[in-house]
Order: sequence, then C-alpha cells, then structure tokens
Amino acid sequence: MLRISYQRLTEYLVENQEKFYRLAYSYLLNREDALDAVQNAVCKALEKFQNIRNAEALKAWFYRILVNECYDRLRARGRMQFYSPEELDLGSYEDPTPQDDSLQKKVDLLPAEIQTIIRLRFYEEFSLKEISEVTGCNINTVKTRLYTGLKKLRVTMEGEDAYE
Amino acid sequence: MNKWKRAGEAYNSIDIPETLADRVRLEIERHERAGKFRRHYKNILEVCALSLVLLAAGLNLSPAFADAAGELPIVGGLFRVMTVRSWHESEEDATVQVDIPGIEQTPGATHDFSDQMNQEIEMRVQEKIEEGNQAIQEYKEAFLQTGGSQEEWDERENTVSVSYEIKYQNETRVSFVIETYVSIASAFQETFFYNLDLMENKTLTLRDLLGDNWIDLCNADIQRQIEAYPLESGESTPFFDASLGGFDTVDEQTSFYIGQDGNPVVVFPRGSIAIGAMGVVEFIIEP
Repeated sequence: MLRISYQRLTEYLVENQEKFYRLAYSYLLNREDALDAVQNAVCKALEKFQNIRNAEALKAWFYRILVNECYDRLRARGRMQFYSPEELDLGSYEDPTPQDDSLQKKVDLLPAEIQTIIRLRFYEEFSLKEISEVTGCNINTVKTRLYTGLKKLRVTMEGEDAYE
Repeated sequence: MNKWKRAGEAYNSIDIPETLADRVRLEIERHERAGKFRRHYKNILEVCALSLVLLAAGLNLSPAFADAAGELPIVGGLFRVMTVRSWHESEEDATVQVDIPGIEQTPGATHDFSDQMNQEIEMRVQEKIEEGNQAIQEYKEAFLQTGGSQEEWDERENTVSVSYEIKYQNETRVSFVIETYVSIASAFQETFFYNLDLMENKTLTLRDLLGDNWIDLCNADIQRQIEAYPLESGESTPFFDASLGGFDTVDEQTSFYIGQDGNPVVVFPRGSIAIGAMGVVEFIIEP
C-alpha cells in the first residue's frame, strides 16, 4: 500500500482549505469558530499523519478529523443534541420547519450526524463509501440515515419535493 | 431549479475569510519548525543509544558473558541468576513483554536473602506493570477525548516491557539491572540496580567495592572524566554546571552496577547531570 508523504499531505491541506472552511462554517455558523476548527484539524492531521497507512484514504481521514473538531465545538456550546443510533436511523427527531423554507437552512436544523451525511453527499459529492469512512458508520447505516434525513426534508435525492 | 443545486450554490457562496490561507500556512510552518527540532533531537538520542549498546556489547565480549541475556551457569556452585518468569501477551491496548529475573540457590544454601530479593523484584516488577497499564489507559482516554478515533488508537503500538541484564558475576557476587519501559513516554522508563553478595547475603555498596574513601575517590574520578569529555571546537560541554544542578557528589543513593572487570560503574539518570540528549550517563570508577 502506498504510504502518504508529508508533502502530499500539506499540498492536499492547502489545495482544499476553502472546502474545509465551508464545511466547518456550515456547522458552526461563525467565522472565528470555523477558522479555529480548520486550524486545529490541520494541526491534528500534521501530528498524526504517520498513522495513515493508505494515501487513498487521505480525504476521508482528514474529513473525519475536521468533522470531529466541529462536533467538539458544538458540544462545548451545548448545541449538539444527543440522539441514539436508533433515533438517527428512524428519523425520530424534530422536523426541520423554519419559516424560511430554503433547503440549506432546513439542513442546518437536522441532527449534526445527519447534516454531515447530507452535506458530504450533496455539497462535497462524497461517495457513500467515503461517507461511511468519515462517519465511522457502515454503509447501510449511512444509506438509512440519508434516506430518513431526506424524508424529514421532504425532498428526494434529485431535489424534487417528495410529498406533494 | 433543482433544490439541491440551489442549496449547493448557497453552500458554495459561503464567504472565505482572507485570513484562512494564513492560518493554514502558519500551522504548517509551526509544525515544520517543531518537527525539525524533534528529528534533530531524535538523531542525537539514537547515537547515544547506539553507543550504550556498543558499550554493553563490549562488556559482554568475554566467553563468561556470552549468555548474559539468558541463563548463566552456576559458577562455583553457589547460585545463578535466571529468568524465573517470562510472558509475552497482546492485550487490547498494549503488548506486555516481561522477563523477570530471580536468584536460584543450590540446594542446601541459605535461602533467606535470595528469597527476600526475589520477592522484592517480583513486587517491584508487578507494580511497574500496573503503573504502565494505568498510564496507557489514561493516555487512551485523553487521546479519544481530543479527537483521536478508536481506529487511530488501535494502530498505535503500545508496549509495557520488563527486561534484565546481568552485568557481572563471580563465585559470590552478582550485578544485574532490571529495566521497565512503557512506550508512551520516556518518563516511564526506569532502571533498577541489584548488586548482591550471595556469600555474605547482603546488598553491596560503593563502600564495599572502593573502601572507606569511596566518596572522594568517586568524586575525583567523575570530575576528571567530565573535564576530559571530548568536545568539538566551539561546542560547549553537555554537563550542567553548579547553577543548573550539575554533578556535585555521589552518596548512598547514587546508582551503580559492577562492570565486567569488577569495577563499579556509577550511573546518573537522563537529564540529571547533563543535557537529556546525553541519555543515561555512566562513569567507570577505577580504584
């Protein structure tokens, strides 16, 4: 297996920094927090990169660090609500029904774990397998949660209204 | 318009602060500075470790020491030091590798002293293994709480090990060192010294080896060796001066083992009288 070089990692981090920031901002909705989260994730990645065995896994490995960094910040603010795996699977959480019904804002109101799956799938175009690596859930769990999340949003994969 | 497309456009229009690139670059530069330092430091340590290994190899060249890592024959029929218990197991969070030495007396010899020593060794080793396992558990909790994943943890190779080395043995005396090591931090590396006289049934002291004048003798020899330490031009001595708590005097607590020629070798822990990069510092004292 191809081991990743330090240089490859730093190039990847610099090239994709704007994507990292957008994802962090979408959870934290605060400029300084999002900057801190990206910087911390970069720091952790540089410290731990020897642990990554496979260069192809780099993307999922780094996003996992970044997403965990954002979760930690949401928790610290008391803004991350706890849902059991069953609740996440079944969609037993509140419907996102803001006055402004833009899809993006509705996504912001889903449980953070579901936000991750949806953002990585639709905004960052990750494969289900990659999402499974980032979230540490198996691929079937990712599919289930994506499916129930879309139901909550009342929208299909293609972006059409699901229940009209 | 497709709702996902619209949402994606909104997502991609999140403003990127100008400072983002600086923050990422800063973090990379900071890491590189620290990394260079660490690499340099590591090389020095490796050189020191290598010279210690060479020294140890030198000590063990004589045929009598060829088996130093394992069992030695009973010399003169009085006793031998051998591995009394050995195990190697992979637990969930660490690999434990232990060789505990013990003294075996010939039948008929007095066992009290050697039994007492064996018990002490056993207790000390068990205590160190427990401390090591506990330190690894605490480190694991901190690792997971600070964003490390279980997978990343599982990829780490944590070790708790206990090993020993026989430094000297004749008909009545034996000198060996036990080393305990936990891979997560150098602070958990400890060395214990056993210098025993199995005829007299006692632990040997520097006084026993060097006579009543042992303190002056050691101090003069150590000072001479510190001053004679070879330096490259422009290099300053790695030994601390008095203001930094450098070498002052030996005392009853000073560690030592007996070298191959029977002379004491005084040992100072890493960072106690010289910069940490020197590693453990040893002085052979010639009476």
